[in-house]
Parts: sequence; C-alpha cells; structure tokens
Amino acid sequence: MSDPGTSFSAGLDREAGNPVLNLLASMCNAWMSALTALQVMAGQAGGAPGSGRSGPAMGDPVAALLSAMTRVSAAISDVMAQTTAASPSRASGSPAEQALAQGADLAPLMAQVAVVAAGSTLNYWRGLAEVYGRHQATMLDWWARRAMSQTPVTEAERRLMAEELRAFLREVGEVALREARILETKLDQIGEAVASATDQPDPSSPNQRHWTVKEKGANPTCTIPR
Amino acid sequence: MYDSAVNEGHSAVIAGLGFASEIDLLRGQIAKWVAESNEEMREALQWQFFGGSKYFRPLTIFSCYRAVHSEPIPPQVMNSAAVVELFHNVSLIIDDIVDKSESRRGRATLHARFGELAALMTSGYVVADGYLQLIGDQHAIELFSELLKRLGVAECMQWRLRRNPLGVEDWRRIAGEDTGSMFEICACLGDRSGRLRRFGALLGLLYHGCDDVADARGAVALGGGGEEDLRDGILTLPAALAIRDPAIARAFCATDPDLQDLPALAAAFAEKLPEAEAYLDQIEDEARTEARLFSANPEPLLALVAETRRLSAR
Repeated sequence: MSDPGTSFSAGLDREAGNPVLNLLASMCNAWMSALTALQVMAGQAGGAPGSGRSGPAMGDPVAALLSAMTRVSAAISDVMAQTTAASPSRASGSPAEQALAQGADLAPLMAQVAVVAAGSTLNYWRGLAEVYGRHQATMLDWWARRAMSQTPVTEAERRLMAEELRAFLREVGEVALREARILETKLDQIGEAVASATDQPDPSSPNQRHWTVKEKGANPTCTIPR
Repeated sequence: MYDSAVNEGHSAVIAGLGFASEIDLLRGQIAKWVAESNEEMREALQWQFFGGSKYFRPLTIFSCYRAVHSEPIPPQVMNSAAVVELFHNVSLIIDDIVDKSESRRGRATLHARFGELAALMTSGYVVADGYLQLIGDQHAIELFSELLKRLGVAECMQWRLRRNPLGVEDWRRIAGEDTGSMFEICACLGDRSGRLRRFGALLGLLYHGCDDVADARGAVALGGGGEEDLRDGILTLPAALAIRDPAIARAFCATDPDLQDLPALAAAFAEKLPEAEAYLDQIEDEARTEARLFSANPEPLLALVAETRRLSAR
C-alpha cells in the first residue's frame, strides 16, 4: 500500500514542542490510519469465505485509528491550553479570558466527538464486512453451482437461498441500527459533559442543573428546577 | 406433586436472579388486588393468579432496571411489573380459549373451569383494572397500549399465516411481534429509557424459540402447546427449518391434516432440533452483545439470558 502521508507526518513529528504542528501531525496520522483501516476491512470482506480475516497482517485497524484519533484529541487540548496560557488577558480575569477558559474546557470534548464519530463509521464498515463474511460463502457457492450446473434449481435449494438472502439483508439493517444506537448513546454522554462544562459554577444559581443519569421517556431524572 | 416441584423450580430461578424479595412484594401486591376485586370475579381471579407463575416478565423488568440503575426497585417499576403479570395472564386466558386447551401446567384452564363467558369477561376485567393501576404513569400506559395492540396483531398474523411454507425469517418476524413484543415492553418498563428495547426483543425471541424447541422435544415445562401448534400448522422454529424439505412442507401445509400424519411431522421437526438449538445459540449471543453494549451493569441481563436459554432443555 502506498503511503504518501508517512513522510509528511514524519517531517511534522520532527517539530516536537510545537503544539500546532503536533496537532497537524496527529491529524495526518489519523487520516492515514483511517485509510489503512478501510483498506484492511475491504480485504477482509473479499477474503476467505467465513474467515473474515485475510487482509494484510496487522493489528486491529479500528483500534489503530482510535488510538490515532485519541492523539488528535490530546493535541487539540495542548493547543487550546497553550493558547489560553499565552492570552494577554489571562491575568485580567476579564470576560474574554473566561470565555477562552471555557473554550479550553470544551476542546477535549469536541475532539472526543471527532474520535467517536470516526470510530462509529469504521465500526459500521467492520460490521458490514463481518455480515458479508458470514453469508458470502453460502451465496457465492450457490451462484457458482447454479452457473455450472445444467439441472434446474430444486424447490429446497431455492428456499434455502431465499432464506440466506433474507437473513443477510436483515443483518445489514441491524448493523446500521446498532451502530446508530451506539453512536447516539456516546453522543448523549458527550452532550451531557458539554452541558456540565458550561454549567453555572455558582451552586446557588437558580438555574443550577442537577446531573444524574439522563433518561428518556416519562421518568426523567435530569431536571432543571424553575 | 407436579405443582410443588414446578413452584420450587420457579423459586430457585427467582432466587438465582436475585429478586426473591421483589417477587414476594409483587405476589403480595397481586394478592391484595385480587382480594379487593369485585366479588363476582374473585374466585376466577384467584384460580388464574395463584396457580404458580414463573414471573419471568416481572423478572425481566427488574433485571433491566438493575442493569441501568443502582437504586432499589421503585414503586412505579414495581407497579409496572404487577400490571405486566396481569396482562400476561390475559394473553394466557385468550390463548387457552383459542387453542381449546383444557389444562395448563397441570391445572384446568380458566375457561375449562369457569366457562368461556366467565373467562372472556375476566380477561376484560383484568385489562380495565390493569390500566387503572397505571394512573399517573403516562409512559407505562403508552407502553402497555403498544403491547396490547402488537399482541393482537401478532396473533392475527400468526393465524393468517398458518399452514404456509414460510421460513426462519418469517418465524423471526412472527415470534418478534408475539413474545418479542412482550419482552421488549418489559425492557422499556424496566430501563425507562428505551435503550434496552432491542435487548428485550432478542430475549423474547429467544424465549419463543426455546418454547418451540421444548414443545418439539415433548417437554411440558413451558406449559405445553406443542400438539396444538402441530395440529393448527403454526410456524415454530423447528417447523420453519424442517419445511425446507418440500415433502415435509406439503404435509405441514395440508388444510385438513390427518391426525395419523402428525406423529411423522413431529418426528421431522424433532430431527431439526440440533439446528434449532444452534440458531438459538446465535440469538443468545446477540442478546448478550446487546446487554454488554447498552447497560452499565449487564450482569442481571446476562443471567436472565442464561436462564431463558435453559428453557429449551426442559
């Protein structure tokens, strides 16, 4: 696999100590990890029937990408922290300084959103590859035998194939729904963290938000007293 | 003898899942409700509700609550568990009338003992009073309404599709709307967020499949029903696997089956039991994955799945 980004990010890595360049290097590495992960998953999906594992020898591509995205998150935090520290209004305690400090609080959460979204996308593709890997042996075998055989398809064969296809289609849908629910849950949690980070620091504030477990439906425990 | 052995088994399951005191409270709540019911209905209600229940649906509610909350079971959830037991019994009463079943778990069914009119009126009384118990819990009212509608649709669909050469995917859809909807709603009543809805659906599917397999094996632990399904051409999991064979499918689809042919059909279904068990293992895995992905404390859910899976072996 060609890797045009490697030399670029390696060059950036040499600028250790510069948070902005570190951030760029991390983002570059994350992008390359994503490409690699997708290529590996594509290889797995088209690999040995049922095995689901025939791509280039390497560790879990999704784990590698998540690790890279975590480094991006850390780099963003560094940039924000250094920017805040370098701000001329730092000592003044002015509204501008407070806004900047709050921005620094939120930066890791925003980076976390990027990590979660990227991970979710890759998990979805991995799930699809697994479903395809589970069913492709039966389906390809059936089509190959039909192409080579002169005898008509029996009723039993047709039923079995229909069942296999229906199961495949159902599982494809289930993968999408499950990944969407996982993503929704994780984004909910980050959303709550964002709300907490921007909450009034004064506990006597009339609009103080009481944080427990967020729930939907008729029994919410997340309440905002009026 | 049979009743006491079965009840001991149920108590062991309840204790194993860690809800002995909650189920005692639930029994007390239902007993109080029966004692305060209309005098005209009381004897029938006592017969129906004190015959030895597994309380598997309330246990599902409690387990789902505990999977996402660390506090003790609150009164609102306890109330939902009592009402789900009431509504479950309504479905049993109707099923027994439709199936013309004279006995369930070694006891006369309600209509066999009190007559069809009394059984039908009792089921109506239970539904009406069940909703009264839910006053103040709008979310639960919506969920129970969804449940009753889906159960009605599922029964009609299952009856319309009988004696048809359908497949495992069709079984999955029917079972998902029948038993699946019941456990789906139980999960929602327990977690109160909807995150365990899919887990509940898979648990119901597993329960339904284990019931089918146990029936095909001739087991009586789940209340019987295998003969009725066979006679009526109901699509069970072993049936869906067996009728891939066109000859079996023709016998299964016969509109007026000869009773003498049924043992051969039962034997054909029994041959598919290993395949059915393997399919149930897959559903079990799916349910476990759901539990781990969507609950803070999956242990009660995993125990529930394991207990459900054991039902096919009884």
